Amino acid sequence: MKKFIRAVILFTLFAACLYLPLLFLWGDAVPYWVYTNLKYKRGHDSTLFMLNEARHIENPDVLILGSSHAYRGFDVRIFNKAGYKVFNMGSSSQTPLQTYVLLQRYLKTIRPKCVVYEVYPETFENKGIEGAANLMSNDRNDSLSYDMAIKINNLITYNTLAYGYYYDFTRSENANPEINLPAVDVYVPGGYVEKTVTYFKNLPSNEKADVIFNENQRDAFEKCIALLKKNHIKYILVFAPVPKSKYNSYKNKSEIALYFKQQGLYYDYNTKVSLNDSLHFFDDNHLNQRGVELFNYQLLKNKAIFSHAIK
Amino acid sequence: MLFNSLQFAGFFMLVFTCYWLAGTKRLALQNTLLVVASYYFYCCWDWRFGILLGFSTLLDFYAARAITASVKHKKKWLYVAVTINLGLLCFFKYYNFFIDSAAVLLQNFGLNPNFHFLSLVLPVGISFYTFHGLSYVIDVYKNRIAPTKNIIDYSLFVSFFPLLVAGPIERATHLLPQIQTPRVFNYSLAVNGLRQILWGLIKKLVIADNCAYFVNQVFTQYETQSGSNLSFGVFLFTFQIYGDFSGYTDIATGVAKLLGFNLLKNFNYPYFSRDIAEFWRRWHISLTSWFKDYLYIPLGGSRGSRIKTIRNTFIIFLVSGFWHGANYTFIAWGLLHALYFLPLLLGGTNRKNTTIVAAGRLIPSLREALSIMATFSLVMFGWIFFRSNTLSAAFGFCRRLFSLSLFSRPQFDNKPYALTVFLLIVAFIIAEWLGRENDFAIEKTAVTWPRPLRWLFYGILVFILVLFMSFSEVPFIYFQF
Repeated sequence: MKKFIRAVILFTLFAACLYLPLLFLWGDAVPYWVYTNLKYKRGHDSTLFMLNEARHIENPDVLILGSSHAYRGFDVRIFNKAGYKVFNMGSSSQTPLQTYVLLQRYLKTIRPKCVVYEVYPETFENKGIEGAANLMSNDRNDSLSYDMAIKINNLITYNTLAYGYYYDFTRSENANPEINLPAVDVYVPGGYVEKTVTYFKNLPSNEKADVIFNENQRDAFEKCIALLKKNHIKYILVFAPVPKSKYNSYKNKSEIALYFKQQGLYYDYNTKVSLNDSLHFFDDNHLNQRGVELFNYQLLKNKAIFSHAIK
Repeated sequence: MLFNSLQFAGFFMLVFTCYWLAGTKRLALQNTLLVVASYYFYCCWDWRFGILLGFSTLLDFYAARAITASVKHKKKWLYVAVTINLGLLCFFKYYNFFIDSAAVLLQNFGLNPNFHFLSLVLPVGISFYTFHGLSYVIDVYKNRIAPTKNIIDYSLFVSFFPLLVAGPIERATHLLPQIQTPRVFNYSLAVNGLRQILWGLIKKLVIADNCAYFVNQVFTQYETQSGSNLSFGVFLFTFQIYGDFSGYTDIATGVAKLLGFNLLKNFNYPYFSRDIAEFWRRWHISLTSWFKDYLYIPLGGSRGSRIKTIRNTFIIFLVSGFWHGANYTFIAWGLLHALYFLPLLLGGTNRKNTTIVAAGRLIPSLREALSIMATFSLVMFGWIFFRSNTLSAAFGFCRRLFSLSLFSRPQFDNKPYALTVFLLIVAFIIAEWLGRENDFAIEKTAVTWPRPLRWLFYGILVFILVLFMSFSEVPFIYFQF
């Protein structure tokens, strides 16, 4: 019996020690597309481009934060043409937990005049695993990454963080892999990603449900707001357009709006821009280029926002 | 409390420690501890289930004693026990099904009955422990075993937590003597148990749960899927159900080994079968043999005319299908397998393949490979009925499956995941093939290697488990039966 318990304890220690070297070996040797609980995908979307650029951006008029609804929904060229210097810091599945990390890392160097924070309600209800993996893969990892992993408390996040630390330790800061954006995506300097115009055909029937905010996300969001306030940076909260089928599926829209209004100036552009689900979206989430243009010009027309932003 | 949860890991560590600390000389204490642990384990689902389990246990315990005590009323007591056991099973599992079927039937005759449906919660594992109890009472009646006088021993036989909710369906003749004999900690058995648990977890968390993602998608939206997607979905379900159920059995058997028990073997590489008869000797063995011993043989088995043998075979398959759930889909699944069985029965070849395929060889012969593939395809087709929610859905699924789109390329929204799952299954088939002459695939692998290499091998398996396991705590499929 003693022999058995001793062997079990020793093997547990052995397996624990073996785990990390195997994880690093796996991450180095196996193609990224193999679906595992290690989600280190460096350079496989626009985040690496965006973060490389973010390190050299200073004093934009507007800094845009948020999920893919941000980097696929706010075309910096439209705002630049109108005379505003805009940087889009949206990234895949960015939830408030990741936004808070980004703000802590970059706010002091970027020092924007105003922040447009795209608040897509669904990012507030998920745990933030995908967004964390994306950020850990494409940015240098520090203690903020560790804090974020602890908050999320998920094996995928821990695996990705461990591999992220290993990657950062073994590669020089400038060693970037070739960035492989999908063929239909074009990265526009300033953080926007343009997708070849496609139309959305298969409208899913979204079941009506309440969006229940995750406590960690709510907490992180309020910390983001507090950080912006502390740095005296004006901000607005924007709910970028989503297909009507999705928008109408949120049963507690008024509660969501009430919460955001309590946190700052809030604009729901789903009720301000006339869009068609099939013509102006390329999937059940994102605007296509035609939709982006309609939305962004509408946003620009709203002088209250931009005059507020730049004053 | 699922086997694949941290809650169970904590629970088992506590039970394991207390159990062996109680000492091998204090058998009664060990058994009492296991009964308490088993009831706690069961009541984690719903405390009311514990009352039902307790009632069923007391009924069978006293019925068995009454059977031996009274020569005159022996048969009466058997009928009482069997009727109440099956009555409870039918009430909880089949009441609404029978009411619904009766209503449909009467509506066909122009009647509009107003039946009352009950919102019953099906007690987890009721089919399994009812069969435990029945086998005990029948064995006592048939004088195959003397009834135990110890209620704790009998309670443990019925409620032993590793096998309580999804088997293997144990026999009193096999398990009760182990309960009544002092158990000594056996290092080799315990290590073997840990190996089996590891393999069971890989089957469940890596194979079955990852397949579940696509299987659910394909079966709920079959009307909009191509034939090739549907065929991939059925292929995945074939491995999901095997990984899920045999994975559960491996964990249960491994846990029992850690406590010094040997449970009946429930799976023996069924997908390497060369015909359907062999498949049924290798799939859910404890249920098949239960039906054989307590239904098929009492009905006359294969001793009478050929017609009678065929009748008995059909009865067994239909009852076996119905045992799985109150749905016509299960009956259709049973019927389909009976039909598969028929040619073997008529040709007298149902006992042709009794040993493991290609024993001692790495590669099977072409004939063997073709037989395996043909049997696998038949089994796979049968799973469509098993998995579909209704018979019309199953037929609709088949219609779409056998359309021209069967020859298109499968399209899934998450292609890398689909490809990864497919590769995992290929690796799994290879591992199972290589280990097919053992109780479980990795039983003998690396056992004779030097310790560092052996531990490296198991360490890699742990790594694979953690790297590929699915996080959603998918309940074991057979819990619903």
